[in-house]
Amino acid sequence: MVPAVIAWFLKEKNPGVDFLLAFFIAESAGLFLMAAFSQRKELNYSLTFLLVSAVWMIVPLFGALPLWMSGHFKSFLGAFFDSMSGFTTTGLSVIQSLDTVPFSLNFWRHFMMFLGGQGIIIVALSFAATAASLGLGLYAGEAREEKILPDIFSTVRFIWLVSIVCFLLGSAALFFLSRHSGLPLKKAIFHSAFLFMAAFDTGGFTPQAMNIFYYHSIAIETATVVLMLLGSLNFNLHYCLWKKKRAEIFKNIETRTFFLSATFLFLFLSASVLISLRFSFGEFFRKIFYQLISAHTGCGFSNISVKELAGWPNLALIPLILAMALGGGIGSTTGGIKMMRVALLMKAIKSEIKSWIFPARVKIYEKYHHIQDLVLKDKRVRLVFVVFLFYIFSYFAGAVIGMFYGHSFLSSLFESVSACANVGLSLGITSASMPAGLKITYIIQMWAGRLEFISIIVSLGLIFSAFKK
Amino acid sequence: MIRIKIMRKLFPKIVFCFLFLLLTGGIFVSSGETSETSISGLFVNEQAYNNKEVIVQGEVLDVLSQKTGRWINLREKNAAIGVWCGKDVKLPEIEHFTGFNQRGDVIKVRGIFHSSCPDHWGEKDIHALFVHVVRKGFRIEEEVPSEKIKLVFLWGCLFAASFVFFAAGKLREKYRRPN
Repeated sequence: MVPAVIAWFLKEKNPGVDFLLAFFIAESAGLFLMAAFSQRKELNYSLTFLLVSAVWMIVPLFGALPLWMSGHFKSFLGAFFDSMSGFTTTGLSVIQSLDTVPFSLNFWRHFMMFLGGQGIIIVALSFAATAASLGLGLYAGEAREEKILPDIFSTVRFIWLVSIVCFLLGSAALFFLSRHSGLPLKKAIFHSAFLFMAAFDTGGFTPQAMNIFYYHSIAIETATVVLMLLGSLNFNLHYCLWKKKRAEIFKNIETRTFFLSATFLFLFLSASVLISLRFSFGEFFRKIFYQLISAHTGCGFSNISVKELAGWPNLALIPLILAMALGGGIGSTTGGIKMMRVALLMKAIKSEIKSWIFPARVKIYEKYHHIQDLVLKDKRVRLVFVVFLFYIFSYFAGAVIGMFYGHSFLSSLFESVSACANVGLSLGITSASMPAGLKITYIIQMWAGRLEFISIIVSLGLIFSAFKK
Repeated sequence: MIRIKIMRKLFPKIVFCFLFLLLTGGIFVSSGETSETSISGLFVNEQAYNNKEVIVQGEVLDVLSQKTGRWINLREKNAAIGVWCGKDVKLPEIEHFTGFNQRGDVIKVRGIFHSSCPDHWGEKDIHALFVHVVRKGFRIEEEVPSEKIKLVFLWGCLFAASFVFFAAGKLREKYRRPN
């Protein structure tokens, strides 16, 4: 209803009617389902995972309705693609003629990212007064491994508090910078909110087809880098910042791994770009650093055109693919394997190598710091490794499907990783004319990547076991 | 003797032809320096056009006024570029910008294309020398199809009915006494 009110306020008649119609359809379907399945029954942990997987497929279906009715998509599948991309904070888009999209529809595109970034279930939980027993399963099912506060509802409310405070401060800063770069008042108001939602929730949709270079402003690019980095931080670290425990940021294993990985990939990218392209210092820093941070935080903003990015040497695409694949902090809005898992895998490898070197009687254990000092346990490593393998498998499976449609291996891998790690950078494969098979592939990848596979694997297991019986 | 006569007659014509070719050739060469192209053409052959005078045409997305000049965001079907107009460049009155239900003014820009602008941190841009409006933009009147309104009304009724039905069920459940 919020976009319908905006449409009414801005006198955008058709979009207003579309939103009203979509609202009625979604609400009627909701009421019908509530009436049809009215029996109250406690859900066990694995059923909550099935519920989460289903919700993340059904909500984007309804979210696609106003997009489809707008006429900016070739088919409903295209609208569903963008809706899934929005909710999973991916940012890939097959929209046509983005520059003529009304403000209310653009608001909906970005608002989907804001809701998806928090977690659809978290949004629902924040309105719930009961269902405490379901809370943890639902929360974990949405790929959030850690609680910040002792109970789920306080955690959910804290996530909202941080997001709203950041929204107010971030949008105000972006509004000031947009006005400074010459954007008209109405556009500056809306674009600052849009850019905030897309950057902080590491979504990557933009209101204009020119992406971030529409603004011709280094200041806006810098502000979005700060917001992307904030968005890629674990919400536990936001809590530490909130409680003025700044030292945690420097001690935390995730921030340290992110810093190391970003530095290494920046050097790799710089070397591979400079081999064949001649950049001035300003251009070099602006283009390389921005693309890398955008990829690593899973945002997907770009200050160069798709054609220019596609023209970069193949070697330069490798560090970008790696950055997208690794992602940001666990318990943040970013996608990908995540820094915590990368760090724990490295620690596990180190520990294994030590066990080869030292005599068998020596007990080897690895410690790491995340909010508190912890010891690496085998069970944790197993879980991390399973999720890691699922990501790697999905990245390559998407690339192989891309190759079936005639794209080169590297560009297929780039697009596949971008979809599965919920990033949104593109080399041009994702477009309105993309074949339906590829759209479906990327939709599944975005969905599975956002839920980090666990919910979906558990759900599939449940479905298979139900059929076996 | 006859040959000399023919030569005398032909000589001025040959000289004239030579001068004509020289002049027109010169014009062709100079016209080659200012090439009219599309925005996407600039991106495809950016090295060929780099630091050269070009003429492009496109729809205006926006004019961003900054301290030292203005940026015109110009788009064609599948590509867009920023056109930098310094304070010294006289801009015509641009009234319409591409947006929802609005077609922007179509302008023609003559300027220098940079594949990596040294003044703007490596942006791909055109530094305008001359800008003029080719075609005025216009507003597209928006009409809501009557079928859509009927559909909204129908779904609205369905929603209201199911809401009342659902709420009544909830109230009954709440106030139902044991026995």
